Amino acid sequence: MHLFMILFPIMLTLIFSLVTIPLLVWMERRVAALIQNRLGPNRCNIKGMRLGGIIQPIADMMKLIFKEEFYPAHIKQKFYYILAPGIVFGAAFLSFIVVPYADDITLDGFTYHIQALPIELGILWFVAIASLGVYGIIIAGWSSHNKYSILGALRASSQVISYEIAMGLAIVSFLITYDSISLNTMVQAQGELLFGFIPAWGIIMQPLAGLIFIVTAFAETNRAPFDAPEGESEIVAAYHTEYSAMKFALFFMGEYIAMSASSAIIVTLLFGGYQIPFLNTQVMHQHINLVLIALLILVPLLSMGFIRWMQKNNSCDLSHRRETKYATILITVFVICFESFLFYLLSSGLSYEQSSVGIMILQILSFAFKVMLMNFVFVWVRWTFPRFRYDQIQHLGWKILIPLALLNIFFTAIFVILAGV
Amino acid sequence: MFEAIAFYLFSFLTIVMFWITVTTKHSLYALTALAAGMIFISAFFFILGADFMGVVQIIVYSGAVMALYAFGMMFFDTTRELKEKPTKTRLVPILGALAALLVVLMVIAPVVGENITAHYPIDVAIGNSQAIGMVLFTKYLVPFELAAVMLLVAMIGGIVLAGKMMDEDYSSLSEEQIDEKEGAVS
Repeated sequence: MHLFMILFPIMLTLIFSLVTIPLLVWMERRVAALIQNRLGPNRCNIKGMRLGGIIQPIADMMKLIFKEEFYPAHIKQKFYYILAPGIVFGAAFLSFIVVPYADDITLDGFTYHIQALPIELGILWFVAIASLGVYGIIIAGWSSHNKYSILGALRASSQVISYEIAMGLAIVSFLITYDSISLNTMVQAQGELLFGFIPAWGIIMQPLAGLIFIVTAFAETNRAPFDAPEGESEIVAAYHTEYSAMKFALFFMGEYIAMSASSAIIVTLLFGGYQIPFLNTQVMHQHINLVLIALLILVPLLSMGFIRWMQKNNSCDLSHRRETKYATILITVFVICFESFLFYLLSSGLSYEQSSVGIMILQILSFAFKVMLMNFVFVWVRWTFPRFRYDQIQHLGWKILIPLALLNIFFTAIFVILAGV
Repeated sequence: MFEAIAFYLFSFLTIVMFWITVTTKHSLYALTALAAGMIFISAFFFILGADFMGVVQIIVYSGAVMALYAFGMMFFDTTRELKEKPTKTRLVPILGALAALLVVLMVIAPVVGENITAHYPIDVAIGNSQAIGMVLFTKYLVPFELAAVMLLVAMIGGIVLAGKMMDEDYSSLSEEQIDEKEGAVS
């Protein structure tokens, strides 16, 4: 049990960063299709099971794994050429591990942090490691030895210097607001209520710093509108022009992990982390039976809505109808099992430790939901906004975001001193 | 046990990285090894329990080496072999003597420093970053502020020295205007 509770957050990190990649690829392509008024990938299937196109990323993955590893002959620094995708992937992955997935939990007298790396300097760790990811891009661009790649690498380095200061300054005002540097303490502070009815989330306490942080987090992930280093319409594919097969796939996956990690940090700082609005850990402990009853009502309602939506939209021919039938049976069986389990819990009553485990699961689910929502925003922005020119990025970073962030720190500090908080 | 393994591993890695930085002829190798060495140094801070210093080491030096990378990419053609012509051969013995002195000092240090106690011992109740903040903003406030002013002066000096055409913004000009200006210069 002791070992499991220590390994559990590391397992969660693996799930949140690696298992979500196919989901994110699927979401990106389907949302892009939705925005461009077309269908997107929905034909790939295993024995007629399409799952709305989730099978497609699996096929893509198989293609990338079995492709030939091609090394261009003009590349002399092979070691750096191969190292670069690893740096991008590893840095994105490491920046994820400080995120708290649920409140601290006490079992058998031990307090466990649901955080893979429970250091108090969570946010600084994120800033430090996420900035290392750019090294991968720069080394890739430089060791590829062509002009497009070097231009991409130069753009990446100029972009990093222009947004990172604004990001640091935005974080400083959050540190002043929460009076702490540890991510878990910040999330616990966001579980409180402002004036008794508004959740004290970061976006409400610090709207301007929140906006700056979101913008710079978008720049950190090298995604549109800040994908000048890649710029496929201007400089081919820049830093990954010379890469193929799994080496390209590592860049590709690194981008999605970085996106997920940025979403996780944005959610943690701005949108209450794992907190369910109006229900922080203590409140849930007090009213655990009410929470169970709410679940008892909500889960069947949501599943019924989903089944009806599926039956309406996924029944155009025989194979679709068969898929819908199987999915309906599966969901119904799951809901019945879940309901009987809840009834059993309600009738037998929960001990304190059992209810803490239940609350932990609810908080992890709430966190996953928020992260997926934020990922959706990332995708939405990518397919809506055009790319910034690289001098516009520098203009935005140096002349707009940094002065705004400084002003924000100034006013926050004055407010904190005057209010004597 | 693990601490010792980590210490020897990272000291070996750091020394190898800086050795590569000094000896290689290739700017990509040199810069990457420099960045890696800077990051491996932060491991010592983590081993010593100074998490804050470790993270700040990564943040500050990764940004600094990033700027070096930008210049390296602009100035060097990495496909060509570089031929070095060292002119200041007198520097080598001086640096060698200094290094030897440093080694002697490092060996003596444990003997001299046996009875040294920390002025500000680590307070377990408050965290690492709070402890640094308290020392920086009480005892070392004046040096801290002076360093900040010095950095500001250096920054302004750099801008004044480098930015001779700061009032002209090429990105807001049209193509024809840029061509005119370029023609006037050349």
